[in-house]
Amino acid sequence: MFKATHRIVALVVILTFVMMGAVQAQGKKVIYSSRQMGPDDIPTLDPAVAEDVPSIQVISQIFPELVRANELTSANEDGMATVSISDDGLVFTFNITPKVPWVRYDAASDSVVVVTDENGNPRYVTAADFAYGMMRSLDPALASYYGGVLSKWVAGAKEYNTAGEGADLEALKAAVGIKVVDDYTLEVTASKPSPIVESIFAMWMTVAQPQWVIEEFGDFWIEAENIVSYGPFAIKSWDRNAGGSLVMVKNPHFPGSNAIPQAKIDEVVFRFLDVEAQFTAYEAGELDVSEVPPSAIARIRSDAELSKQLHVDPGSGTYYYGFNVRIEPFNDPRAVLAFSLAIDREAITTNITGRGEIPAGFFSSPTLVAAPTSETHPDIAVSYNPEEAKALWEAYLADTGKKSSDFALNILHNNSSLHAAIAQAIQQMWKETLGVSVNITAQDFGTYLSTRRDADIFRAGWLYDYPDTNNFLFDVFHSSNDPDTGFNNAEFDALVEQAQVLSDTDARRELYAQAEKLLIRDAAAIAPIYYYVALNMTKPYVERTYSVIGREYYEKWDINR
Amino acid sequence: MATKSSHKIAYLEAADLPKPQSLWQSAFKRLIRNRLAVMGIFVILFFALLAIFAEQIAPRDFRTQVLAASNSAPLWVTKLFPTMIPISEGGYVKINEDFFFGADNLGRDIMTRVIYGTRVSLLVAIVGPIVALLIGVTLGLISGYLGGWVDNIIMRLTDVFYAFPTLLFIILLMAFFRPTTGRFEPGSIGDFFNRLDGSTGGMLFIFVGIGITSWMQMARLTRGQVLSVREMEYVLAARSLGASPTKIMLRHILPNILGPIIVAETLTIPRYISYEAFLSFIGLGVNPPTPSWGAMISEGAVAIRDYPNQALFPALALFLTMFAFNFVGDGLRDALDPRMRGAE
Amino acid sequence: MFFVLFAISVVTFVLMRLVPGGPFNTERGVPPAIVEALNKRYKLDAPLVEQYIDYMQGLLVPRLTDRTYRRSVVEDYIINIPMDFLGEGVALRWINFGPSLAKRNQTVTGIIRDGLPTSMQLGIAALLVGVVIGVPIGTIAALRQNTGWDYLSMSVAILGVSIPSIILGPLLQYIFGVTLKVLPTTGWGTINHLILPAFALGFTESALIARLTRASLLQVLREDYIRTARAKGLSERVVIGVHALKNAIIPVVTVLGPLAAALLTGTFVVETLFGIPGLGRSFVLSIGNRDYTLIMGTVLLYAMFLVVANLIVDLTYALFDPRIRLH
Repeated sequence: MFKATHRIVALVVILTFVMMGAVQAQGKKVIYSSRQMGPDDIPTLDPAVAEDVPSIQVISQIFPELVRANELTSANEDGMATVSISDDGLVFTFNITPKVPWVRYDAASDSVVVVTDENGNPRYVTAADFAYGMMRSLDPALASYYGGVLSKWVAGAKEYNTAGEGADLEALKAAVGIKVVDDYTLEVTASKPSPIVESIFAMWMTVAQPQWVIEEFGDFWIEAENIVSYGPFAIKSWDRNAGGSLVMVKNPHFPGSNAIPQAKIDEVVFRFLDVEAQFTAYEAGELDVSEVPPSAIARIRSDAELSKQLHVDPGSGTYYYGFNVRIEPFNDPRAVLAFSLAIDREAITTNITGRGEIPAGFFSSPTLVAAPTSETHPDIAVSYNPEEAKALWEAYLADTGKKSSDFALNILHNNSSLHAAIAQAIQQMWKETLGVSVNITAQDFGTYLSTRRDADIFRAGWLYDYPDTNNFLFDVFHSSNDPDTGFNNAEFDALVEQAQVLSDTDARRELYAQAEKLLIRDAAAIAPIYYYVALNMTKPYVERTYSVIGREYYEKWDINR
Repeated sequence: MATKSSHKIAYLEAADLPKPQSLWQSAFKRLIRNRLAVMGIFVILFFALLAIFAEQIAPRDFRTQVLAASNSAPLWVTKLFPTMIPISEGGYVKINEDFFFGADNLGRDIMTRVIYGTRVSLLVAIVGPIVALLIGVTLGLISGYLGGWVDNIIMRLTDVFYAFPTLLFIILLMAFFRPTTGRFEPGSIGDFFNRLDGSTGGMLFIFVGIGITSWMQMARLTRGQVLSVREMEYVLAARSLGASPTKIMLRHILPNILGPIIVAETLTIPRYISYEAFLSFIGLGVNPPTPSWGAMISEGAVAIRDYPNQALFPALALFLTMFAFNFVGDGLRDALDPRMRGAE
Repeated sequence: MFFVLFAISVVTFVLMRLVPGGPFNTERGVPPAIVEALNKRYKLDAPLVEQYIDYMQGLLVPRLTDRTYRRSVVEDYIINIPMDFLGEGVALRWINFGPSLAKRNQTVTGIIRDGLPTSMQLGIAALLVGVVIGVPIGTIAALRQNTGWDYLSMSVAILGVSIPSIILGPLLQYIFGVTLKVLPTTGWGTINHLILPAFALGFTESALIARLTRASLLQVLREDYIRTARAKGLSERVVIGVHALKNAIIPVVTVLGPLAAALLTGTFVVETLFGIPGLGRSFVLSIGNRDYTLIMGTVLLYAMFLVVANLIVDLTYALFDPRIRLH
């Protein structure tokens, strides 16, 4: 009960604070953004366990990585360190930017303050903090998904990360190839030489983590009143509910570099809103940046003012249909290809999604390093071709002696009006072109995930973790990942394994093109539908960059009001 | 025991012979004298005919998508909603006169879908109240009249069902009985439910949901009403004359409390329809592309700012139906009120 | 009361574990080793009965803890009574809803503590809107039965039921937020933020209340005691206000009980439309996420509100109508 009254007092204080904040905002540069956030709470700010776009968005602002992915080109730049790689491509030596202090937001003085140790000296981000961060991500007890991704690339990490009960954890830990040379030098040994390894250090699970805070507060170290960080922004407040918000403030103690400059904006307020609510709030002047609901796109394009505020960027993923190749008729690649070629992707992207999505010719998104595209490999890319689809399907029927009506097939999708609309359009396309009637089943997300392995046909999407084609072709369809479609092809496995260790991008692209040819044509298991796009509405007074890597760098933004 | 009680009822019925069926007969007479109620009946009949002869009446096929015409509207609709400015006037709305109410985001005729949607929505509007009345009124009567431990058990049961996680239950049923694959082992229980669901156009789970959620409010309402009339003179009189509890409940209490119950029931009809919409919204309702008003409203609602016609035409159909049910409900209430009997 | 909560807890616990899928499934496909480790971490690999007893113990049994409290998400209690005389940081703590399984650094207790006050504020405001609009409209309609006033009131009421908040919400946002710019469209924190969502939520309920009030009042007005009261020469205001409305309100109150429980624990649609940090969305999403502890927490909370609301309803019966004897 004591706690309850306490809460109410706190609530009143916050309310007053919010109202005062709105007035104070005149002198400060505050940006209200919903981009990337969605209607629900940010799941976590813990770099070791983060898996989703909103969490990673905030983490990249408060815990910058050793290697920073450029948001415009997706090329790797020096982040918190300069990196040198040994000639055999195995040893990565990071020279960490010295004297970047750990900071936290102090509510009493309404400012970001430097964290000090027991002796009153500032705590700086050191090689040991990065080593601790990586080791914590790999900790088998934490069971982190991206800890598992990291473990594939660091020597000895796999053994530690997957250690079972009764294993000698200390010995396994000592064998991991992460070595602190001195305060500002970190040495990491890769498990194999590959152009991909550097991209791994541009990911959130490899950042520095504050050991002393984590040990003091346990699971609650990420709460706004406990968290310490070192990036261009610090956490001011975090209202953890659907419809809540997270406020980041500028960290004046961050030295800034080419790739990660000091922030120009004083505060970033992330509001958790669903896309329709975002756009309404944007139109009402409550948000400076928002996403765009599909229904509004025609009006925005026709409006002189709004159309100037709209920006369409390539997204970071692919929407596709998976086919269960363990069952008839999809155990014959001709059938899958026929179904794939019968989909009029153009009609879907112009009339249903309508936001400028690009019809997909490949599974790999064209923004990835070493990805084959419709320009580089036009004869492999799939596109709408009803004649060929019909011919393939008829050939299949003739060979097997079956009729279209023999098949009772079903499309599975998770609930969403967009998935439902696309499924219904595809249902009609297959009926018209191939004469096959399919059913549609919508399930809630949990059921969908746990049953799609048994589905005949299912809708799916894949967004990249790091911008390399390896993250699409190897990480999804290599047989070691046991893909839900049942796709299992030795030739494909060999191609993507080979591409992993090559350093020449063009040679890799050629290998990936051959792998794609298997995946979407010769041993087809999927039909790529379209590449996602990122749509932004931005008020004219916001000066910004448009990211292609799936997260924004607010430290590069400014407001001119 | 059984024979004895049925004998008793038969005896009591015989005693009532001087005015056989008078309650319902005179009620019907009074109902058809109520002009608004009759109008309501005609509106409901109109929608019922739409539902039955949808194939003949609807201008198009409810499934056919003309993707090029998605989100288009005829000129008169853009005049009706002035915010929908046609492309020709510098706006964004595609003009297409082929679709009288406009086309939805897949280029399907909204008018056709409203007409077909009558089927699901009317069925829900009729089945919902019947389920609620049968279960709810029975339990409410027993609970309110008998009181004591019977009342206690029924009310606790009601509370349990109120807080019952229906959504969870329906997801569970869906996961087991809606096929992820096109194949089900013939003769299995999954196959049985799948067929049942298929033959009702995917409405099985809606009915299950309504069955679980509809009756509690009715039970509580009935009980509250029974409590308020239980000690009335006419009930006391009937009791002192030795009438059986069943007879008191059905002949003396029920007619006197029927008014608010019927009104409450006609009022809850939109709840069933919006429940269906909610289920359709989360994907647990009718199988697409089968249209229903609720699903059309919830799908159209996201585009209400830009294409208000997509949600408001089905909402208008819903409004008219509600209006009709409302007047019929009122008429029924007046007609069934025993104190109105012989008033004319 | 305890029986209801017990029954609901068992039913929910069993149902949610029967539904396919689990809290750790993602579209990416999580390696079995990780799922296994997570199951172990949250003790989901224990027998079901053991898990249930474990959960109920955390919820019901108070315990004394020292200052190491709140180190892990397993420990977070709603009620904390400091007992510093037993040692620094020692406190008696009660009601722990357990860790959220879908949000790895959050507790269900925390989610409820943050969301419930918001949902309750909105719920009370919506109930007020419902009653303040509904009862007068219903009364006017009943007193002026079969006149233009009656038809107008009822048209408004029926409109209210036919236009669900999913349509009314965006319309209100567009009119008052985007076009007139007088009220904020989204967010939470000031009275201004409360108006639109409370109206969107309450209008539908007001329609229900208006119709019930009208029907019930019409019935009451035909009762003998009203005739007696009028015959005694009491003013019409006293007859309606004191005698008739008091009796007519019973069916309304019956409906109000569960309605209040539902409104106070949050509503998915309105919270999503207006970006309100309440509990309603958490509840619906917890089911989609298979966040077992959050499902249990929100269902039990709702059940508790419901039981209490219905108890209050029963008590008000006696208040409004002394002839009703309570058993």
